[in-house]
Amino acid sequence: MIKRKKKIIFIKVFIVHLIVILLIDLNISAYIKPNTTNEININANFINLKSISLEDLEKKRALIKEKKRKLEEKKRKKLEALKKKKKLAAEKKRKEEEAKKKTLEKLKKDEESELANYELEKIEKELLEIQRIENLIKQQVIRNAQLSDAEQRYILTIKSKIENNWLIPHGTKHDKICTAIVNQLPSGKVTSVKIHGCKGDSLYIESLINAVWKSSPLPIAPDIEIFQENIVLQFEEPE
Amino acid sequence: MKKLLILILLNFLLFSNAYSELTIKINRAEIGALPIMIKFFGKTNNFESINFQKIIQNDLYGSGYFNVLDSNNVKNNLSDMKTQFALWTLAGTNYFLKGEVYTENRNDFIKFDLYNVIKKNIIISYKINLKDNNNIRKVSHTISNVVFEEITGIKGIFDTKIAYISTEKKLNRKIYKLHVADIDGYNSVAIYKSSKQIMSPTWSPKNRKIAYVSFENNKPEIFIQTLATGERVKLLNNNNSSSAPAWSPNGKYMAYTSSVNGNLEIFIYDLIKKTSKRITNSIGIDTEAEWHPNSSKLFFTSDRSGKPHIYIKSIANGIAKRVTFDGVYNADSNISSDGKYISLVHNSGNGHKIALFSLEDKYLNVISNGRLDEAPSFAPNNKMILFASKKIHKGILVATSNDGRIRKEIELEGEDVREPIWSN
Repeated sequence: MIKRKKKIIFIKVFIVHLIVILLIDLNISAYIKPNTTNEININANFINLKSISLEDLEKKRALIKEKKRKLEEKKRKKLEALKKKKKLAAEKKRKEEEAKKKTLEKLKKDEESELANYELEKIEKELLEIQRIENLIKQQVIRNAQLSDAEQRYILTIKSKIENNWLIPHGTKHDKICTAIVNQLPSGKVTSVKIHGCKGDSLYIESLINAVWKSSPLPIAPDIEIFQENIVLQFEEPE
Repeated sequence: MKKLLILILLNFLLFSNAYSELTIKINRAEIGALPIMIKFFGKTNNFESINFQKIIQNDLYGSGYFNVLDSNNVKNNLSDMKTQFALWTLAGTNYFLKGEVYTENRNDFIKFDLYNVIKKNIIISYKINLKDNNNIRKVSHTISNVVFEEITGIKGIFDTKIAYISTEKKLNRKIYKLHVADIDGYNSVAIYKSSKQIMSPTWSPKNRKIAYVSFENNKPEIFIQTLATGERVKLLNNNNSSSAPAWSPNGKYMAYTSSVNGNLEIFIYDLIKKTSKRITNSIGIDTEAEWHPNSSKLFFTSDRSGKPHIYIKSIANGIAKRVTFDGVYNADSNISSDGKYISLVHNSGNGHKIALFSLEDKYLNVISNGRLDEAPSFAPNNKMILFASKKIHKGILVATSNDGRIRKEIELEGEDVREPIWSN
């Protein structure tokens, strides 16, 4: 009798939570459009990092949905849920899935309802936190997308200006890649050029330094937030 | 919870991006000579600036490292340096050499400033008193050296000398001369003249003497001539023939070739003890000794394998080791002062050409395109090679960059010349 009452209370609590979750989920999916990745699909390293983060966000969201559905099914048929999870799990998340299986098996043995309830609460908290962070990230992604477009153009203009001014004398010997650290003012005026870890003929090293000085002033950053006082240049002689 | 952690981490990465450095890859460049402009002003009763300017322009251009731009239409005497640098930059030059010839207290001077137009600064500034240095060519070559070394970091060779043999035909008689000249062929002086053949000149390590082979006694014999005094001494104090002299870099020995029962072998002569020691002993011909910079090993040409090739042998002991394997003919080696390369005459079936052989990676690179090229020798900075070539049946001298890219004939007023050798 008491057991049955407990069950009813649990169902009620669950339905309320479910509604809350659905509301939150709708909210999130209204905010985020999946095609934002196109804007920043450019080749610089740090931009790749950003697009990776977006993809990950999508994955996270999918996983959360999945989890909710699973819990619902678990309510009806726990064993069936186990089978379905197998089908739905992405290969990358296999380890996580295995961990879940273990926890579910444990659930069977222990007092299942209490644990399920506890897990539900935990998921809900997680969801709220995820939503909060997602909102923050979303704002930053929009800002970064704007920046990286401009930043990419900025990088290309600096690159082409220095490349146009790079004159290597014949027959010089040197390391494959030589790095230069350039200091500049917001006006683009170069204030110092330092070569790091480059073994080679002085004529070659001088050609790197001259290429930078000849390019001073460097192109002005289109947005002061993109401007970097220090620029790292990786010189690699073309074949 | 794991997911949450990952998200937080991602979040951190995203936000921290704003503080990273900008890294830019630069992988496109022009490969070529450095643009430089040279302009000398003024004149005195004895000197005209244009004479210095022309020699320096010729030197730097001939080195292969510089593209000498026409400086006539560029203003060079602005007192406002900012505008001056802007004008030079516009003219497309990286360096500007500005000089002036003038009189001060009845003395003639030449002064020059070398500007880095890119960095907008003066690299060097010099003044030379022309009273003590009145040879225009010598002063100009010295200035070329200073400028070249300052910009390239490589030792300049514009004031070094070359020696060579010329042949003249007069009334069916041949006259042979041994010359010493500037590397551009000027200031040529015949230091020895003979109606009998002379050949194989070689410089002493300090360039004070020249050893060469003379046939004045109707057989090859090595003579050493002191440049300052003209004094001549026969190397060996016996009647043996001797040829192909090579001074050891430490100045102690002279390696030479002599005939033993009709077969050529290499000997070394101790210049202090005045004794000879036989180095090679093979059934083939061994000749054209060339010292390794450490004075303990000899390169030489031998046909013991059937075809002429370069070998190396320690003067102390040991067996000769074959060095070259490419082609059908490798001879007359000359080693770079850093011991890394030998230049030699190479034939792989299409004529005698000059090649560079890397002793480190055993790679042979042909750097001349004649059919009868011979007698290569390195410049003291190892960046150029001097050799003899043929042009319409007449011998000429050619200086080439060590990659064969720049080729410059040395002007010698139509003489028939051969066997050049660059001083040390």
